[in-house]
Amino acid sequence: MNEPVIECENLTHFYGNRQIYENLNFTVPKGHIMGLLGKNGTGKTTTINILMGYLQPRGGECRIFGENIQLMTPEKRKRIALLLENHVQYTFMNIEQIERYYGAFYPKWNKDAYYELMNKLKVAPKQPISRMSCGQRSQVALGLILAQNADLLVLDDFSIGLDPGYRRLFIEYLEEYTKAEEKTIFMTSHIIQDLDGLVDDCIIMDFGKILLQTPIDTLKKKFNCFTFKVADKKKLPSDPEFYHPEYSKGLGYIYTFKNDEYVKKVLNEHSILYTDFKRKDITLEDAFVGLTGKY
Amino acid sequence: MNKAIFFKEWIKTKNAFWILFSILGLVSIYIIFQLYHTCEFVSAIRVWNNYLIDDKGAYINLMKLLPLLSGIILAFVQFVPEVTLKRIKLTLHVPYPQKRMLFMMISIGVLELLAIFGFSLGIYIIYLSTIVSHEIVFASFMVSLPWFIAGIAAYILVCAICLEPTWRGRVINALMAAAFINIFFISPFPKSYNYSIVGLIIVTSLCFLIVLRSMFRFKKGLQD
Repeated sequence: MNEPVIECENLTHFYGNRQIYENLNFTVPKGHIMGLLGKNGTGKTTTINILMGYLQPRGGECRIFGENIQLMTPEKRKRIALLLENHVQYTFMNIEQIERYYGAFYPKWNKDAYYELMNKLKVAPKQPISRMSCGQRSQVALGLILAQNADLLVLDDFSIGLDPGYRRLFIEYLEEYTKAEEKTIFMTSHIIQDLDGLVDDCIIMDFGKILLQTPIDTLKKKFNCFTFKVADKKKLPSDPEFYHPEYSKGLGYIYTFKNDEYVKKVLNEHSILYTDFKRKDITLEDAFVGLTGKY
Repeated sequence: MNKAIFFKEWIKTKNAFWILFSILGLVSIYIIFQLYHTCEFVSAIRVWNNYLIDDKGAYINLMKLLPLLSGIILAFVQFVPEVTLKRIKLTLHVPYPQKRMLFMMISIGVLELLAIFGFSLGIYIIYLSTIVSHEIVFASFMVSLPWFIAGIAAYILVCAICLEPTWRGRVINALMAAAFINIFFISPFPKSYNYSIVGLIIVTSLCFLIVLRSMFRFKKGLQD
């Protein structure tokens, strides 16, 4: 088993009296890509803030590269590349200035990786980042991350505000980069389909708790969506093994880790007359919506 | 790394720096012109009279609130975007000791203010010394020095206010800042601050601790 890069033990946090989560435990081994998924307000950015030392949790401890994040030395921080939500950057600088600034702090700085991406941008070298589009800014942010040559990448909602072209570019670069260099990534995203095929493991958060922590392959193999038609729309049974059963577009949907026999048994016990019972192939996004429910 | 920090802060603040430099410089030039005009068209005796007997603030009164405003403006320009646009997280993430990073940022702001104040006060003092005795020059300098130190103090304290994560904390910091800054404007008379000026400079330097406190509160994640 690879050594853990991120370790969080019994992480607990509240905003005032509102519990974000309690006793969250997870590790991210070296070379893995961990996706932190959840609806808005479930604590994804809070987790990133705690990991980066911007927020002191109410309880528990987080370590990165074996060091407590609250006491992390600059030496260890050199190994972490951070992308903040909305691609926050020093927008008063242009691409040359920002490269010169960050290059001074990272001994393994790879200027070529940065300028390879920057050459794709159709901007003047002296153009301030504030005058670039959202996609161009994301490219600058990506270039800076790649140039840092960090061992751990922490990406908070990297795809926000990006059109499909820039999102695809970002993902392709990330995939190539992490596989080639055995980097570790911890990321959050709202666009679940971007993470499909990219992340190895996921934590799915819900309000006040962790719903699930599992490898993506396990989730996709073992999580099922069953659909069926009903003559009269009786209320679907709320079995503890069912996640957010619902009717949609004339069909009943049941999401569960159980098999079809179990689901049929429960439906029969509740006298629900169904036809055309099927197991539906689902994507990671379908699984996420099934687990967390629609608003 | 220090050069990179200076470079970043300079790019961020250079427009504000040059505007403030020009304004205070122009006000000093205006004061110098007033002195020159009085010397040429009335007489130098009138200038001596204004300083010694009428005590009309020795012309420098025009400059009284400008250092204070300069400090406040520079602090806003430097730190408001850091906080509202969340860049402070980038600043604290960079692999450099965080307290030292904050100290560097504040020091750069203070150096910029010293350059602005040094120029504007300097040209005034240099010209004044060609007209009046060194005792009067020194007295005029000591009357105006507290205003310029107030500018530095205001800069540091407004930085602390900007970095403070809660509005309640900001209001408390602002009230404390107003009370402290007021000390620098209590008396306009020469020799009023001769014995206390060193103490005021030391206390102004210690205001950096309030900035550090704001940063620690930010890192704790305190909210309204």
